[in-house]
Formats: sequence, C-alpha cells, structure tokens
Amino acid sequence: MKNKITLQKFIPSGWFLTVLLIFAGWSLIILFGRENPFSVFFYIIQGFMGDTYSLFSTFNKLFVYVLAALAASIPAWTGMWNVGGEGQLVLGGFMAACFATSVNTGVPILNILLVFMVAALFGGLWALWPAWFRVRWGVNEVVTTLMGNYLINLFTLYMVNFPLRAKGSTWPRMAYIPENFELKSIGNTELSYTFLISVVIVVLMEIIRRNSITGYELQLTGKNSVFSKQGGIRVDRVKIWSMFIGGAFAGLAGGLLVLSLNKTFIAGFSPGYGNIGLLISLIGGNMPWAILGIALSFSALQVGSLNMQLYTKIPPEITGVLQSIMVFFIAARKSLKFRKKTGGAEE
Amino acid sequence: MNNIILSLYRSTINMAMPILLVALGGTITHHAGIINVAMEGLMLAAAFSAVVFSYISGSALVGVMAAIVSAIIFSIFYSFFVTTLKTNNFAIGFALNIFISSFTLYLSRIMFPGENAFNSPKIAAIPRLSVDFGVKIINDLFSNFSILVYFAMFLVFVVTYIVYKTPFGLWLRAAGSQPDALNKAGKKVTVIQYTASVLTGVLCGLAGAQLSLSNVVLFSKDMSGGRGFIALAIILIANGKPSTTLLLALFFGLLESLSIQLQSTNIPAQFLFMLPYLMAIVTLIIISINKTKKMGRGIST
Repeated sequence: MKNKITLQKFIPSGWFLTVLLIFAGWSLIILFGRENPFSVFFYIIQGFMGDTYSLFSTFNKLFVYVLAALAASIPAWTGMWNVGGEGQLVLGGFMAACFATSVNTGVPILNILLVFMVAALFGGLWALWPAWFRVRWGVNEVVTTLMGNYLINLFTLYMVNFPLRAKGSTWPRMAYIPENFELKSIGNTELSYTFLISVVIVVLMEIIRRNSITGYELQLTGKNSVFSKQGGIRVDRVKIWSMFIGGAFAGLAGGLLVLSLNKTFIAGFSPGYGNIGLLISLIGGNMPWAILGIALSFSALQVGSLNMQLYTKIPPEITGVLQSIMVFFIAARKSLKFRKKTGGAEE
Repeated sequence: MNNIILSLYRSTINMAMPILLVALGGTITHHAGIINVAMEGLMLAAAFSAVVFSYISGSALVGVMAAIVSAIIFSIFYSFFVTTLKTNNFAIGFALNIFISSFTLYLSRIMFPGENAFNSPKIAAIPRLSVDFGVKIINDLFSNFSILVYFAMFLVFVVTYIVYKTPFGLWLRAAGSQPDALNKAGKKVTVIQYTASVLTGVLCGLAGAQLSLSNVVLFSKDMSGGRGFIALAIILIANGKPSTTLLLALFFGLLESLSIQLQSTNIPAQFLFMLPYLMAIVTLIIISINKTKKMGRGIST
C-alpha cells in the first residue's frame, strides 16, 4: 500500500502535467538527433497549420486514423481483439484498386459507392474468419488477426510486383484509377469528402454507442458475456458482427486512401496505419469522440513532420516515436486516474 | 542431395534459435499469466543494441550483454505498465513494439545518415564453436554452430527446470493461475511477475543477439520480422511446455529455411515467406479445435 501512495505522488495525473511530460519526452528524443526541440516543434506546427493548405492536409489525412481506430474499437466493445486492422486496410485498398481499374459504370457517384462497398466488404471478410474461429473453437483471435496481416501484405506485394504491376512503373504499383473514380474535394475548398465521411461515421458510432439497443448489446457483451447470454443476447453473433464491422471500417479506410490520396495501390501501401489505429483506439478508450480528437493529433503530427524533414536532419521515423511516447503517458495517466477513482481496490 | 539436406538442416537450426529463445522467454511470462505481445519489440531492441555495441567495442560479448540489458530494460518497462499500472497488456505491448521499431530506425539513421541498414565489417559476430569429433558426419551435424545455439539448447532444460522443479516456478505458475492463493501464502504476485519479466528480458536479449550477430551480421529495419508473434503462437500451441516449444521452434525454423532455399525454384518468394505465418494459423486452429472438442462444447464465452 505504501508503495502505491509514493507512486501516485511522483507520477502526476493532471492533464497539464501529462502534456508537459509528453513534451519533455519528445524533446529528449529530438535532442538525441542533435536538433533544437523548439525549432523542431515550430516546424511541425508550421507543417500542419502554417497555412490553409497544410491545415487541409491534416484534415484530409484524418480519415485513415479515425477508421483504423474504429476497426479496433468496435470489436473491443464486445471484448474481441482486432489487431488485424493493418491487413484489413491493405486488402480493402487492394480490392478497391482492382475494382476501380477493371469495372467502370460511367457514373462517378455510383463508381465511388461501389468501391466503398467492395473495400468494406473485403476488409470485413478478412476480420470475419478469425472471429468465427474464436467464437466456434476458441482460437485466439490476437494471433490469427496478427498473422493475417503478414499474409495480406505478402499477397498484395506479390500481386503488385508481378501480375498487376502497371507497365513502366519504377516503384511497384497498379495502374492509376480512372478519373471518374476519384474522390473530389468539397466545393471550391481543398477539403476532401473523406473528412466529412469520417466525421459522419464517428457521430453515427457515438450515437449507436450511447443511444441504441445495438450499442448497448455490444458493450454489455464486452463487459459480461455470461450475463449477456442469459439476458438473451446472442453473444456469439454479436461478437462476429462486431469484428465484421471493425474490419469493414479498416477496409473502407484502404478504399478511401486509394480514391483520395493515392489514386492507386502501391507496394508498401500502408506504413502501419492499422497498428497506429490500434493505439488510437486504446488510448481513446474505444469512445468515438475521443478517437476523433486523438486521431486529429496523430494526423497533425504525421503531416507536420513532413515539413520538419525539409528543414532539419531529423529522420522521418520520428513520427512513430513521438506517437508512441504520447501513448505511454496517456495510458499511464488513464490507469492512475482509474485507480484513484476505484481507490486501488485490487489486492 | 546430401549437401542440400545438410545445408537445410544447418539453416533450420540457425533460423529456429531466435524463435526458440523468444518463445522460451515468453513461456516464463505465460506461466505468470501475462500474454506477452511485446516480445517482438524486445527482440528488435536487443538486435539493435547488440549490433551497435559490438560495433563500438569490437567484442561480440559486449554486444550480447548490451542486447540482454536493453531487453531487460524494456521488459521491466512493459511490466511496469502491465503489473503496476494495470494497463491492458495488448495496448502497451503494441505501443512498445511501434516505439522500438521506429526508435531503432531513428537512431540508426542518426548514426549512419542515408543508410537503410546498419552494416559494417567492424561489427564482431558471435564466434562459432568448432569441436572435432573425428567423424565427418557428426562434425557436420553438431559442430561449428554459434555458441548461442548450444546455449539455447541447454536453456530448454534450464527453463523446464525453473518452471516445474523450483519453488520459484511454483510461485510463477501460481501467479498465473491462482494469484489469490499466492497472496495468502505470503508471496507478492507483483514481485514474481517482475522477476519473470527480467528472465523474459534475458531470453529475448539472447534471441536478438543471435538474430543480428550470428544469423546475419547487421541491423536492418524491423529485422525481427514477426518472429516475436510466431513465438507467441508457439507458446499458445505448446501451452507453455518448453519441450514442445523446442519442437515447434524447429518446425518454424524449417519452414523459414525452406522458404529461403526454395527461392531458386519457380514459386514466388512472397508465397514462400507466407509459410510460417500460414502454418502458425493452421496449427493454432487445429490445437484449439482439439482442445475444445476434448472439453466439450458449450463452455465458449
């Protein structure tokens, strides 16, 4: 007991101190790279909100993080672990690119909607089999979804290197998608429709979580599946569906990436978006609102660090380092706060 | 033909060792009731420090020591979150993996600007142990492996002994299965879990060193390549039994070396590289189905 009291004294749990500690951690990492932390912070901030263009870039990148985070969150509501967001996202992107380069209805809006469905469907399917094996045979879904990532990465790498590679491309990629598939920006602004889509999905999920029977069933299953079963919830089905929806969000993220930012499917399509989405969902506590906020900060860091690389000699990998340091401190704060609330009831 | 089989055999042993060491490390935390998803990162951190310190000092021993120390530090860090702060172990494990994956690359780019891998003739490799048995076949089969290979085989017995024959092993298993009973017996679960995580750190450190100072002598981006996760699958399949772990590690070593050897054929390399991951899934599914069938249906939660 004594031990705990001293611990809480030394690790402050106020928001202000958490943020201060995050910045201290970041500064330390930047000092390793022999640069001035303050100028690095300046370039990052300039990079994500220096002018309207960079601000819109931050917003236009947001959807990847939001959807990848939801891919882990929705299954987490029911107590399932989807760590395969990466694979589902890549498969969704790959199928979207395949569809866009082979089928064309001629109507842009129809094209885009069809791609959404294809990407979401395949993302969902890739999350479905681990869920089924989990529920039916108790196969640990962490391992199966994880291994699934490697399978999809290798499979798409092969496809994009050999059978589907665009002729004359220096970096392995598929052909660019036709123009009537591209997701344009809203009106005259630089803001992409992807921003709108991600915000709508977040609002929708938040409403479902708080106000709907489905949301209640999902969360009850996660909290106490035996009780839910006796309460008449078909626990197995709920779990499988939550995984499918999660996978569908990841797949949609891949599809949107193809339609808006990438315009094609390339080798190394995702630099770990799925895993970063997992982190966001974990510190966001599986709550859509929180996810939107954290995703915005992650997106800002990512976009801002591109600008920073132009002016400093800090390598690009710093984004991952900064993001994970943020996760450590927020996770620590969250569990300390939780412990204070419950009065450290364990042991 | 003999030569092909022999080289397949030798590369199987070499490829299996990092997996075996990591899996043994995870076995210890598995018994303490923690599903350790940070092993991938621990191994990568170890591989990186092994290369850096071997490069600086010119001594493989210093490299191995540095690997062990760095893996222990991160393992305790992981334990601090999981055991003391009671953070979700998946959450913090994946955060740690991402941190180590980007941080090692970040540091190696700062030290060697413009390079994608950390490669230098100044990095000292772990020496091979060559014993002359007098008979060529026996020499081919048992001699001239890295010292760590022999040590790893020895560690299988050590871990078995620790887990099943010592008081610590008993407490360890109790910490996993009956923490309340352990508390009543006057042992602190936290202390046991921290000790377990130090041991895991040592083993993951050795695995990383074997990876970057023996199998190849360089550091490259994400060179642990999912072996930590394969090891996780192995632990779940073997249910924490070291002897089964050894067999499975050898099996996955065989798959890995097969995927390298078969590259001269027409089969695309990417499909060959899928083999270990695919087999991990298949084996886990088969084992789980058998287990569920034995226990009878209706208990799934």
